[in-house]
Amino acid sequence: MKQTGDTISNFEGIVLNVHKARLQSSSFQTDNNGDRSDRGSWKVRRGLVHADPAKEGAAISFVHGFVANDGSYVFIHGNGGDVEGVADPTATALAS
Amino acid sequence: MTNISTLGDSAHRHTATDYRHDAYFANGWDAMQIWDGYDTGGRAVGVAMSNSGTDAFDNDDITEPNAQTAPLGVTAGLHLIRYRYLSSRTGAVSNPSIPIEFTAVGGYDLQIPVGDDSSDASNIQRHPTAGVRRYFDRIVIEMTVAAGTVYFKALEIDGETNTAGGGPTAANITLSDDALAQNPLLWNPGANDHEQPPRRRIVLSHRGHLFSFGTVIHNTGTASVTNGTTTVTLGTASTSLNAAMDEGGWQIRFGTEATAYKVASGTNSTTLELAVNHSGGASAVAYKLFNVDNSIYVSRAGYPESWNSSDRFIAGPTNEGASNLTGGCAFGHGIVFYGLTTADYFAWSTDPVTDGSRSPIAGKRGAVSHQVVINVEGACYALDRQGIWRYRGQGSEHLSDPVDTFFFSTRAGSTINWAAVETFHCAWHANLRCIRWFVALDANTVPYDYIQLDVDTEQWSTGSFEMAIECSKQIPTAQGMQTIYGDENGHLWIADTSLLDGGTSSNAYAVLTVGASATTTSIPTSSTSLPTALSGLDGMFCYHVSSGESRLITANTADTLTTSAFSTAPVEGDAIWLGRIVGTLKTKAFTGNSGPGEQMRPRHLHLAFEPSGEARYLRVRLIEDFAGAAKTYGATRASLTEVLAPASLTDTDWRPLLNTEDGYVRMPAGMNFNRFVEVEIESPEPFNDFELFGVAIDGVEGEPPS
Repeated sequence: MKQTGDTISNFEGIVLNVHKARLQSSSFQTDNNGDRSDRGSWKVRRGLVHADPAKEGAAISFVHGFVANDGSYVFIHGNGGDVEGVADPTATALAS
Repeated sequence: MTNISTLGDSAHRHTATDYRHDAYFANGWDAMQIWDGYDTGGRAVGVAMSNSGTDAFDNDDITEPNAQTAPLGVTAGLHLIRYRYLSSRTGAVSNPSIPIEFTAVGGYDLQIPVGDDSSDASNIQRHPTAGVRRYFDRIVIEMTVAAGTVYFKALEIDGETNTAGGGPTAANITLSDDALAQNPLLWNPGANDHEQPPRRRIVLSHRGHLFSFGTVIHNTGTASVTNGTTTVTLGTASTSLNAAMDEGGWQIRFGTEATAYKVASGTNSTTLELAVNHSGGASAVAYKLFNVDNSIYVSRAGYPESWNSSDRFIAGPTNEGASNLTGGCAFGHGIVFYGLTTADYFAWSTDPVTDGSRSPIAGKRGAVSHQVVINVEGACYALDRQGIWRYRGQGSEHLSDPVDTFFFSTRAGSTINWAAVETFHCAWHANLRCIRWFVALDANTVPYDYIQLDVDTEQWSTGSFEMAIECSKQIPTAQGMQTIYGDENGHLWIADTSLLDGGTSSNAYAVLTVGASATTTSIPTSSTSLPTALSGLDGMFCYHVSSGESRLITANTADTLTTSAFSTAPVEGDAIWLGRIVGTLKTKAFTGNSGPGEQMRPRHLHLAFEPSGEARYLRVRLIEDFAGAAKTYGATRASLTEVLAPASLTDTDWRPLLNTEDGYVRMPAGMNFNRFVEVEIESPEPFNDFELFGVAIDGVEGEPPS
């Protein structure tokens, strides 16, 4: 067997783009639920905090938030046959 | 929480925008709605002039009872007089009433009776609906100078009866022509300049206008029609059917018939009339109601509740392959309007109707829906059937090359289900500086998975949730800009703010031990302080480690979870994790330095990372030549101080300990790999706060065996 010495590949380093010829060396790896920082590191993605409104009776079909005339933060969302308006959905959830 | 509308409709999802502190939302089927953020309910945008009948407003009861002292006193001559409703909250106005003529004698005031109905004695009618009067609470009387044709504001009075004294019973005009001419109208004076908006699916706010465009297909239930008649009966009622049909532009196609019939009008919530008799008849067949008016409608500048049906421009087709409008995205001083395979940049100088111009963007690119287009830091991103692309002012830039397999693959696990396109959406995540497009894969009809673009690095990744996320948007909150998710179970979540999927940012209950007497659906735990506020853990998922099953938590007390049923009841002492956030990274393929023709014999796999504060493990496995499964070892391996070896001959995983102080572990990788080695790193536990910096392989290479 021919010996060619040690080889080392780094994190970016996938030496050749063999899976798909047009892949660039800095592009996609199979990354599920991870986040990539600008320095190339990888960490598991963060999770969800429950917003203030309790569970609705149907799937949430749309959301939109805005600042009302009195300066309060409000948002609207659809669920089933209703459209609900809610005060700041993060007031309690994130304060805790 | 305020129920601001009962016009929610999962079959016709709303779009929303805001303008001067009011939210506007539309779905193409029901009337566009507005909510100010604190009132007890929303309302339809705009208001109809209620007193437009020929008998309702006339000059029979106008009197001139009081002589005025100059300069007051209405100037002698023929005046035109009309009135309209005004909202003191938003400045919105209605169309004017029909005008009446009145010849003043000169030097006197004019008095016009004001009442609550359209009787002849109440010439000026307050809006008859109390809920509408609350918003359109003022009445403006407009009048021309003698023999003139231009209207001026003659008087503004209270139109709300819920006031001290119950509101005025007469409008008393005293202005001479000289004074009147100093009061020009602030709004467009045309008779039809302040109509209510058309029913269109998309509402978009930009540069002082609201834009309304995009149509929906209504096909709920079945339809029936008798041969040779025009009356169509729908099997499923819709309260908006009548009003929607009356706006025009609708056609209906029964089943696979070769003819689509024009709809003449709506009758009630289940019945409509065709323009011509149906040929052949149909009984309880599938149908499609669709609108062929692909126009873009524009509100009056500064008056988002004022529309004129003639203020529109035709959307297309301008390009080959043009479709109905699917989305819009504000860009600079214009808007990118998308079809399925078209995208036009539309810009205007002073008025989009009169001086707007449209420039097709290169390439057959478009967007599948309004929910998948987004402007992030001055660039418009959109998802279409070919991938994800960007517009920055010149041409289209295809971005999604590395993940295009999702758009063209038929491989299980990475095939987008285009039939579920109405549920796709995207949002900007400021704290991660990424855009996530949520898409339904394979047989899913709602999105559990997303494709993510980090806009700074332009790196792509993917992810998924245990629950389908049906909508998302970044919204302003007292805690800053936050991205909100709405899921299939009715929960609302704040994205990417916690260390796990759950109620708070604490990890105190992330890892639990099953207590005694658990059943398949009721799991006593080692914790006595599970969160119960808000919805508690309802809506989260828990992960039973030994069975590998995730189940939806439907309720909880301080110490017990109620879940959907596990296959078998967890045993006392088992581990239960909350908010399983498994992350995996599979590198692209390592080869020997000489290229893929060589056989590799790695000695060690090296991992460099920021150490975790807790004793948690990764799982690391090696995959040869793009095989579907990781490679097993031919002999039992011994654990090292910092790495647990595969537990058996069928186990593929090394488990490095993440609280290793120097943030570095190396594990034996010694076996032959013919040409390629992929490393898959899995972080299976909740609250794993490590960060991976590097992966390296060393070893020798040589010719593969012949």
